[in-house]
Amino acid sequence: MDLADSPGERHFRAEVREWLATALPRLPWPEPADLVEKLPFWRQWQRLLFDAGYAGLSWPKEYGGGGADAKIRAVFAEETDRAGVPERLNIIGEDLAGPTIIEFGTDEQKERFLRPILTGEEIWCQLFSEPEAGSDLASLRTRATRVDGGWLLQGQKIWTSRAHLAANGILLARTGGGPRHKGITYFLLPMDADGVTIRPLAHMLGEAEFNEVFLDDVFVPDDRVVGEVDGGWRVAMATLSYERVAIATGRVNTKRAVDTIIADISRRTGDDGRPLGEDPAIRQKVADLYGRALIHYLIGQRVVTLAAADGPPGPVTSIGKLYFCPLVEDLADFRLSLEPLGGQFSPDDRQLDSTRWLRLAYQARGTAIAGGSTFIQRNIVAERILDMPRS
Amino acid sequence: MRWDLADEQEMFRDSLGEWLDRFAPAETVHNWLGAGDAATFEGLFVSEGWLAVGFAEEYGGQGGGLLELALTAERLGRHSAPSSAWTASVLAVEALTGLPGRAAAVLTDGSFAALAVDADRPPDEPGPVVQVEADRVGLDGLDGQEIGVLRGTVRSVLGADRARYLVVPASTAAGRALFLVDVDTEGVGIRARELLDRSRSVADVDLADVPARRLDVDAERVLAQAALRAAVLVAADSLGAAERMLRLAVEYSKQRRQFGVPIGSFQAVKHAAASILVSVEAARSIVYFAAASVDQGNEDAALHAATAKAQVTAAGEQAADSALTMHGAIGYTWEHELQLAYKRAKLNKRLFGAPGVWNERLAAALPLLPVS
Repeated sequence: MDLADSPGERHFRAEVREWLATALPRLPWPEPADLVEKLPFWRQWQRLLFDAGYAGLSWPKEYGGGGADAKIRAVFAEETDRAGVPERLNIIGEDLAGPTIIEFGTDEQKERFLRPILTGEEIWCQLFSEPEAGSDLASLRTRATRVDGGWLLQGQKIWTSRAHLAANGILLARTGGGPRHKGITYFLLPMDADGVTIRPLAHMLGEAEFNEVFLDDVFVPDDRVVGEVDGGWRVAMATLSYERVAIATGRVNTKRAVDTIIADISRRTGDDGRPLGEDPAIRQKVADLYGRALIHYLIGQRVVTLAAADGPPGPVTSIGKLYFCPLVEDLADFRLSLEPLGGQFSPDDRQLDSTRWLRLAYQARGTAIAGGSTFIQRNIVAERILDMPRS
Repeated sequence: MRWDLADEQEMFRDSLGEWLDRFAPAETVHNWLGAGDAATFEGLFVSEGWLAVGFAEEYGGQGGGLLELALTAERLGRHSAPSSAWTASVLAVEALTGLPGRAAAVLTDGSFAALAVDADRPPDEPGPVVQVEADRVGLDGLDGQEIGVLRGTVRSVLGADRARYLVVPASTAAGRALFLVDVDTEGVGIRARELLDRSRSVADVDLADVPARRLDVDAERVLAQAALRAAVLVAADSLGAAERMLRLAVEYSKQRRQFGVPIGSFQAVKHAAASILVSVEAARSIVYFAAASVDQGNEDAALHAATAKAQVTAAGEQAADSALTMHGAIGYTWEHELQLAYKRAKLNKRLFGAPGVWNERLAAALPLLPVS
């Protein structure tokens, strides 16, 4: 059990920290809130990452990546988080599509698609979920029909984040008549193809973060199939497995969030005129959140240690999301509870600075549903790890 | 950082687990506890040398540190083994570093020791009403030792009924000091209490003008360290108890059939089991880490130990109730082994301070107040 960085990690951390100190001031801050306005800002940032060799940090070097193991990647995430870098707009491209193409793609696909992900030229989206295929992904109905030189796609996808910004999408469609997991094929879809219609879908806060995507006889050539025809399920499972380490280490740095909350409390006074930090109920709640955030961090470090050793994922790999989701909800809710009316003001009400916590509170609810809701996760944990019988 | 156990730590944990499977299987433990017999297990445990793990060789130990002790606590918790003599000795022996021969006796020949503190609060917090006072502290003419005369009562001392020696914190004119008491000394009264969890024991300790040797250690430092070690070890015990309850509940859910199917196929039951697994792995993540942190003197070690105690023992209680519901009525019976782990988890939550007490310690260490 090493509590400190290894010499290699320490060296890398110092190097990243130094680079961030010079790179971040070169961006035209502030970062726009609107997604479309944010895109050019993000592109500048991604280009800086690319030029410094930090884009695709975990990709193999032969594909332009950094060849870094999970621990180095975790250090990078910690440092970028600490410095406060722009939001990552191309997680699907860098963490899901890229590694999938590297593992299963043809040479031509690698040549065509990998570099624009690293440079930030092309954003990706994930076209897996459908109105009738959520947790039960294998029941998807979008159909690809054989035509001369390729396939015609017909169907509908939904909950597609950033489809309106994306150049390409990873897409699953039914090509065979076999049982559920058979007969699914994995495609790379250019989002500007004829017959693709993108309709924004507002989430609970009224913001259009995700979309519906309608596919009406969209032609995809043969060379945009990844892996075997009818063998797409295996590729899709690999795509989802790349997410595991990223999810376990957390998309939200909960330790940092607790530190921010503590700093906020230290500057506030309660209704009785006493410092808010003297309130016993507040003290108990903060201590509880601090402890849970520490544990969340340690769960991530366990997953990273396992991944860096190339060991098989253990039970701890599967519990990350189940531990993390309620923690982020509680963190954000608690912080909001310190505001008048519990922070239940519209994001458009500019008088309050708690909007980011409101967004986090709602985003956390979305995270608990996305990629297999926490209910489904519990089924999976019970069946696969505890070997309990299927229903 | 690197979160994992060294190979030898894994080997130690596995071999202790195998030894316990062999010498302390569930039915045997059930019989021991039913008969109020802790001594048989303690004798086996000491003669095999397990008590010496986690201490330096100069005290008769076999090396290793708090992480090895946490692994021991986890395994003892998992087996609901009678462990008060072990826990008490582990906490007391740190005060005996100036007396290596005495420390070696505690660790190797079954002359257990106990830190005479109220098990209802962190070991470094003075008791509420009755304190042990020492007066007439002075040099003894014979061997130049400092001697004090102790008077007072300490309530609920873990393992005092199992101990040959007591390490007693007492207030003196010069502040708190630690004294070594042989329980056979005249004026020492040990009143054993009966706990619901029969795998542990406490006793009220009366000291009526007991002459005792002052230990040449920094009492505040030793007690503060004992508090962190107690926090980590009780958390590790809860981890072990939760592992046991999860295993029992999952096994039962696969074998018990209702409505024509195993109850483990119902989602409600699966979700309960999955939630316990989350607690268990979360607990393991913090317990091993906190043990290493305290051992290595990390600057945040007190925060890590407090987190372990507050989070893990609270989650352990929830796991106990959930595992009980998964068992249905059979788990509610005396004969079923679940009750042993259930009561163990309940006591652990309160032992050496409830989660709220440790969370308040955490809060006190966080910069929650305005900088003045």
